[in-house]
Amino acid sequence: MVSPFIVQAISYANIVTLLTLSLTLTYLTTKVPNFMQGTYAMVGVYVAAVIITMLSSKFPYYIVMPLAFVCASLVGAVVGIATYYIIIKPLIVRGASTLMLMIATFTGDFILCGILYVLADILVNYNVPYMIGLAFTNYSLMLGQSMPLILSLLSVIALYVILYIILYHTKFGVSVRAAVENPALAQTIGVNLERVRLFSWILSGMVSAYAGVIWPFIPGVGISSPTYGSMQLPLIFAAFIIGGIESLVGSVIGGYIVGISQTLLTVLTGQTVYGFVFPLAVMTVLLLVCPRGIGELIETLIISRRSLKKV
Amino acid sequence: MASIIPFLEYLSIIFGIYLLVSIGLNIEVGYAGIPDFGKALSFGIGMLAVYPIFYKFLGPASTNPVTSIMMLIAILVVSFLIGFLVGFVVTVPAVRLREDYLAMYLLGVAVIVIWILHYNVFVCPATGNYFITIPNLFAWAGSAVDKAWALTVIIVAIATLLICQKLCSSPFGRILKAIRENEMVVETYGRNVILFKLIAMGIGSGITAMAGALYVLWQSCVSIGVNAQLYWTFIPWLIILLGGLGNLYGTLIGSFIFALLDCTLRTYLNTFTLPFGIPVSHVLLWIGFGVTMLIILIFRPEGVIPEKPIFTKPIRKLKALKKQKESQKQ
Repeated sequence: MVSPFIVQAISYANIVTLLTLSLTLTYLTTKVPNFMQGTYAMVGVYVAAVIITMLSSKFPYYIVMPLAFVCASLVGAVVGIATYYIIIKPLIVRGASTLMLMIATFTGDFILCGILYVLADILVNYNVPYMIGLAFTNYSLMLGQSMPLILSLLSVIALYVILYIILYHTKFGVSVRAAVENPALAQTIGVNLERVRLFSWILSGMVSAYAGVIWPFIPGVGISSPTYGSMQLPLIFAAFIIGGIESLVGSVIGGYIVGISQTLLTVLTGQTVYGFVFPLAVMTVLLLVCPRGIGELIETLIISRRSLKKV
Repeated sequence: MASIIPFLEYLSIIFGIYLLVSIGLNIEVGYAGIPDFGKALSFGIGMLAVYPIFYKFLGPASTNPVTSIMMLIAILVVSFLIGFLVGFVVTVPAVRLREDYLAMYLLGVAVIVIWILHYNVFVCPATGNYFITIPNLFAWAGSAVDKAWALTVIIVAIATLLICQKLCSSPFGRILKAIRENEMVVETYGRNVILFKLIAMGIGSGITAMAGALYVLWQSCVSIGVNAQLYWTFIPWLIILLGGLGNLYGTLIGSFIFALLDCTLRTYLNTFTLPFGIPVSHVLLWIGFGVTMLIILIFRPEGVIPEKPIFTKPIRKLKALKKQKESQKQ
């Protein structure tokens, strides 16, 4: 059988990859790093916890789990739409700088965290445990350790294939790519920039909340409070920067580097905290050597210096 | 009337400490244009700086006012220097890059250092608690110890404000502002942009570290919670945006408004009741501050006092001459 360490490492890497992919998606269209990404996943965790606690005694698991995934994705999509319309759009309309947009998403993170805290306080009255990870214990024991591994691996592949098909084989995908390349030019040709941005925020919210449902099932992950998501944010950012912030393939590579190294270090040192240090160190070195991330590194290795200078 | 004095003491301490942190942040953001989303890092470093000094040199609480004031000054200086060094060194890898890289990098470093401090350093081995108590520096003041702290914090904060105002109107501050506006121009005039940015970051971090040291000394307990990012990064951002970026007197007003609101709400929060069984807690304040921040960002991004150009002596003279000429013509 597969050793529990590999299960933990690969499923964790998959979750980081899913979150990084959704971060990259919104970055490409809106040009702002979303500081709420971790808390988006926590939304999924809370929705799934509520559904599992309410329905697990009435229905078998093969109904409850898909329902949890669907509901979490829907709520995630709603949160994405709300973020776009309440936080991002009013600022873009007023011509705010990247700094202002960053502060706005940073603020949004605290608002969302606060709402989840209030929700957690209310949900305690309905038998949902305050330490939210405990809501998943029964299912985690029942479904076994390979569930998060298989499910997260399939999700990453599926998301990548879906994104590829949408971006390269549909008319909408062409407009998305045009908007990413040059927003002003795309707008003059008639691409609806707002639709592209809305699409990316909805997809980002959906994927993150979906990933959030798988998260608590991974062995060794103890999710206790809504701030857990924002505390994991450095890892997502590290994966994002390691992958080169504007490349989808890069975010998959970055996600794997960060996820696997984090788990490896955590197991070796026996403390979650030190698992953070290695991804951060990799990020720091990459920022010093080649700030554009793995994507640029590969380019430099393949293409000779002279041809790069011409570019 | 009896309860107003503790309230005022608490208010002035909170005001002074947030003023210090926000001055540090405003020098970084408002003057040098570095988006520091990891202010809690230097605050934590300041907290950490106090701990070894206390245990190495002081030991039990001092009974002599002169010694303890000397001690306080030594701690402030050391924490400033350590904060300066940490701010300087941490920023080096990302300082050449765009602001979004810098923001993500600084946030990452801060959150990770807070985790390490919280779970490994500030854990008392004997009790397993996430804090370490230290002797109160002003224990000799007896029952007036809180008054002494309030006075000290206010004096340090106001002195720092005046020094920084002087510093920011000097050529140094004007170069920082020029860097924020256009790095290329400053480089063309032969200034080292990277060095100036790093120094600004160092000064900002140093001042924040001083605030961290004062906070720890007042509480006589060293601890950094997992919500440090909220208290020592988000709220200073709220204060400087409320007061106005690139404007230290705006920061003064911003932190006073914040401290007044915070202290009043905390005192009277328990008297409220909410529908739907929503528990009354500090979390509601988070949401409230967050919404306030969004409103400021959308409707008044320049703050209460918008930034004004710095008038140096020659410019003032020229303006006076212009006025004289105009009046002579008339």
